[in-house]
Amino acid sequence: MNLSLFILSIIIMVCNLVWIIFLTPMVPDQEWAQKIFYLHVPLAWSGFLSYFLVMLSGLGYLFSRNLQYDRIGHAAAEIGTIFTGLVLLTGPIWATPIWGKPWIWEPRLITTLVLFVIYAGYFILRNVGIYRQRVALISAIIGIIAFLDIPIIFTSVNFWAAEIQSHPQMGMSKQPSGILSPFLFSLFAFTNLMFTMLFLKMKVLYLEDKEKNYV
Amino acid sequence: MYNYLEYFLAAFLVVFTVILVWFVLNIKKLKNL
Repeated sequence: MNLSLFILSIIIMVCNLVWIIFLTPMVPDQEWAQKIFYLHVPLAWSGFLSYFLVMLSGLGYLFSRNLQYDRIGHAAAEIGTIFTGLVLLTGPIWATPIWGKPWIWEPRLITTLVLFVIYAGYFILRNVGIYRQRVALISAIIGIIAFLDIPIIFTSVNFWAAEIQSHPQMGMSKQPSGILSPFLFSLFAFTNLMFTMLFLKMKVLYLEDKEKNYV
Repeated sequence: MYNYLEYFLAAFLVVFTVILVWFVLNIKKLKNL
């Protein structure tokens, strides 16, 4: 992995945290709980971007049968799953004081949980011990199919009954001033972190494949 | 007024502990390969 990218990611993330903790305004009624939003939403965005890369690399593998695409897909799937797992943990931490309970069976939460479970299956499948090229082929297919859940997550708030929606649906333009800039910076910081992790993981997977003579 | 600071700290610790552990494990792997 490129060391300068790693150091840059740390600097960006430290700046991001200083901004979030010390310089963002307190929102009435939610106070510190609202600041979880600066971690939760960028994690969700970066996680979905990772899964998009899994889908693209899956298509790349199907067309080329080049294991390099499988390594990109595997690395992106791992990071996407970690980020989605963190989304599923930080969401309930925010919801406990604000909704009064950590989890409700609401469309966006259910569809995100389904995405996480699909990828849990993806990793179980990668480890069942079938030969390398077969794992790559099946993983590519699952990566493409699993991505279909992401548009469902985004549109779930529209096609399920409004009375069971409890997700904040306020547009960013309606947020109090002083929130948009740190939020966009946090999006950038987590996207940058995601790519740093992706390059590190790809290097690890490449060396693992090399050790087993797949490269 | 209640400020919910412990909820933010909990979310913060969960996120950065998981990411830090991931980095430690993968850098260790990288060194061993």
